[in-house]
This record gives sequence, structure tokens and C-alpha cells, in this order.
Amino acid sequence: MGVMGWILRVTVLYVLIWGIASIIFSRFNPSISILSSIILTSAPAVMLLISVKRSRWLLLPLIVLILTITATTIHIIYLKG
Amino acid sequence: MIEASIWVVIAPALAGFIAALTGLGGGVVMVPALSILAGLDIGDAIGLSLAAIAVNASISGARYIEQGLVYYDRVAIYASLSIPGAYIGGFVATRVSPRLLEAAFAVFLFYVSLTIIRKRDSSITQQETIEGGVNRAYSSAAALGAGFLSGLLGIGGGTVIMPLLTLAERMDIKRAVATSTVIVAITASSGFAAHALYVPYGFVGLVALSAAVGSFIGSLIMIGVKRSYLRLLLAATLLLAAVRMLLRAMGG
Repeated sequence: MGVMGWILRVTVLYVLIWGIASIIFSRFNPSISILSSIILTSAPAVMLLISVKRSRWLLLPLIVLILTITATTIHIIYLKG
Repeated sequence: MIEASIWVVIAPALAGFIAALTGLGGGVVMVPALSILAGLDIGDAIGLSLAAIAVNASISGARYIEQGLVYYDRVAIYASLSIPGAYIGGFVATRVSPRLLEAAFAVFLFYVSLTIIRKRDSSITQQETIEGGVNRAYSSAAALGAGFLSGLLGIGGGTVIMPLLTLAERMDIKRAVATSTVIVAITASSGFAAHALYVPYGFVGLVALSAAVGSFIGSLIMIGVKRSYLRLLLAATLLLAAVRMLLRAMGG
């Protein structure tokens, strides 16, 4: 029940954060909105990879995910000016 | 307008449910439902779909990891190599017309669906991939190719990865669904970044919640459901993807 409870709590929290963020995003610089939305969307996958301590195999996709997200975010923000 | 709002809730829940049972991600259901039934712009539908998939695949993935169904080495290989593969595919897609390839891949998906349906329990569902039993160099090439195809054709990674895991790597269907789900959680998160400009933020929380509910129910059911039913659902969803791709290739 530990993992399931964790999932439910994170899901509810996540949706609440998104609800608040969607209101705040309209008032901020587009770059901040983009960055925040990317962080919010990739957070569950990053947390999932970090939470599995049994396998060092998952370190590789975690690094690739963080690198690609960082590179894409910089690229988008650069394009957005 | 009210009907459209209902579809924004129903489509992600249905997609999350199917995704948790098939390991396909759910974009094949969610994108057409959000764009056709809910009336959203196709770019918005893809962005929302990726956001929802990233969340619901993480939820199902956590459940499958807890059950010990996930092969971590395949997650590492497929997720790490399919992401750069998808970027290369996306780059190539801007320079060539992928219609012929789309048609060819649709035919391939028809073949895969029929093969999955025709396989008996003794030949596909009881085969277990032995850790390290499959050549990792082969898996690496397959992962790069899967990412390239998904980037080139604009389809979810699960549509390419599931046939590879079940047929080429001869993985047990439940383990394949579980492993593919974790891979898709990573690739969808990465893919969302490229679509972050086009996402209607007001919908994301609602779509993510709806998909999470469907995904949660699906992941509970998947553990106990018969393998033959999972195979049928997987084959039917792949057939749907094939039809959609064929229509797109013909300009529909």
C-alpha cells in the first residue's frame, strides 16, 4: 500500500499544482510558463526513476531525460526570444 | 460545447485505461479523440496527450515496478536510445515526406496485429525473456530504430516498442506491457518538452487527472487479467493505429 498511497498523494498534489500553475502562467513571461510546464510534466517520470534504488540501470535514462529536457527547453526559450 | 468538454475528460481516462493494459502510451486513442470529438487543434491535442501520457505511464509504471514486472536493462536501453533516435527521426521528417513509409509501417502493424492474435499461449505468453538472454547490441539497435520511426512518423514510442518486445525479444506480454509503460513514461516526458509551446495549460490538470484515474484502474486490472485478453486488446489497438496511419498516408 506504500507505493499506491504515494501515487495517489502525488497525483492529487500534482493536479492541484497544475490547476494553480495554469492560472499563474497567464500572468508570467512565456519562458517561465514553458519551463514550469516542462518541469511539471517530467516530474513524475524523474521521481519514478529516482525512487527505484534497486537498479543502477535506471541512472542512464534519467541522465538522458534530464539532458534532453534541458537542451529542448533552452532551444525553445531561445526561439521564443 | 458541453459534449466537447465531456470528451476532454472521457478520452484521457479511456486512453489511460487502454495504455495501462497495452503498454502503448495511449496517444493512438487520445489524439484523435481530443482533436475530433473534443474539437481541439491537433497541435494542442498532441501536447495534451504527451502531458497525460507522461503522468499516467509514470503511475502505471510505479505499480508495475512494485510488482517486479519491469526489466530495468530494457528500460535503460530503449529509453536512452529511443530519445535521440526520435530527435533524428523528427529532424529527417522535416526534410522528406514520410507518407510512403507511413503506409509501409501501417501494413507492418497489420501484420504484427495478426501475428499477436494468432500466437498461442504456449508460444508467446509463456515465454520469458531471460535477463541478459537477448543480445543487448540487438536491443540497442532496435531501440534506436524505434525512436527514429516514432520521430519520423509522429507516433508514440509504444506502438513501435511493444511489437519489438513481444515478437522480436519474445518477452512475456505482461512484462512487455510493464517494461514498455516505464519506457513510454520517459519518452513522453522528453517529447512533451518539444510541444510545450502548444499546450493549453488550462486543460492539462484536468486531462492528467482523468488519464491518471483510467491508468490507475487499468494497472490494477492488468495484473490479474488473462494474457489472451491482453493480447487481443493490444492487437486491436495496434490495428486502430494502423488504420489511422494508413488514412493519414492516403491524405485522409
